Amino acid sequence: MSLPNLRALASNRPQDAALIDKLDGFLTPGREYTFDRLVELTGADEATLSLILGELVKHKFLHQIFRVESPAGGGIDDFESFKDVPVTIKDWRAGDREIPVTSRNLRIVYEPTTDGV
Amino acid sequence: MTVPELHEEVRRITDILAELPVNAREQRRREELNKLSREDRGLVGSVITLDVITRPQTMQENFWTKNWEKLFTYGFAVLFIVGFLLITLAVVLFFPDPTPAQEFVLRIILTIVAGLAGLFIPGFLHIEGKWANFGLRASGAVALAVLVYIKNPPALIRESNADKAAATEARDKR
Repeated sequence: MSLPNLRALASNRPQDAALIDKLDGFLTPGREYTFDRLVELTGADEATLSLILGELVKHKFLHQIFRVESPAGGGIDDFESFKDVPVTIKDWRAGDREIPVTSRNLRIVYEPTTDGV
Repeated sequence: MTVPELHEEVRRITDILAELPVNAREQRRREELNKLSREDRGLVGSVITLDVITRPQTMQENFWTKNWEKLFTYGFAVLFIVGFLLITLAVVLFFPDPTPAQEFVLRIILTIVAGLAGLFIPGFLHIEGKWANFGLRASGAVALAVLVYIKNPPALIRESNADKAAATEARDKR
């Protein structure tokens, strides 16, 4: 992405500058990254990565989506905020069966944008 | 974890962080997140952002800043009640036979003190009736104040003293 404001964010958190640089190196606008995939790619621990990603979302470098996935595979629905995620959801991929939403079928998906502020 | 459990976990960690100074929160956030399973960690961590852990209005709130208004009001009311009760007690001790004007002032003070004290006494009091050609209906602290004013403690004492005097007089005559 190499946006100047991302550099500013890195200078605000020198302890995480290497992680921010790493993210800056491979995040490509138009592609989607799950949180787990970002953990794999960066090798960072979840606590630090979630904090940095939160900052990137706040500054609109990333768009964050909470995606509920079907046990049968594929997404069922996307939610803009964690507060909006329902307790149960109708799985249209598996015969409209009502399934509970848990951390097993809930993914955080990040999509880099081109308009960070 | 289910969604309600995830929300509960977010609330639990946020509450823990709220009790800590700002510079200790990030480390504690990491420790608390590391207690969770890998799949829960990312979800809970994505909600407890840097904004949340550095937010002064929720994080810096200690007991005093949260409750100062209530504590100030209660403290003032308690001081007021105790102060006026002591003054009333002193006046009664020094002036056992008050003039009608003194009696009236004492009644007013006792009424206010009773009303204030009523604010702190749990329970429900409701009175309804007629007083001096007026219809009357009051609840709670106001009811207690009205009761004290209407029942007129100085007059009750005077009546009781008069009764005692009359009884003594009658006994003496016998």
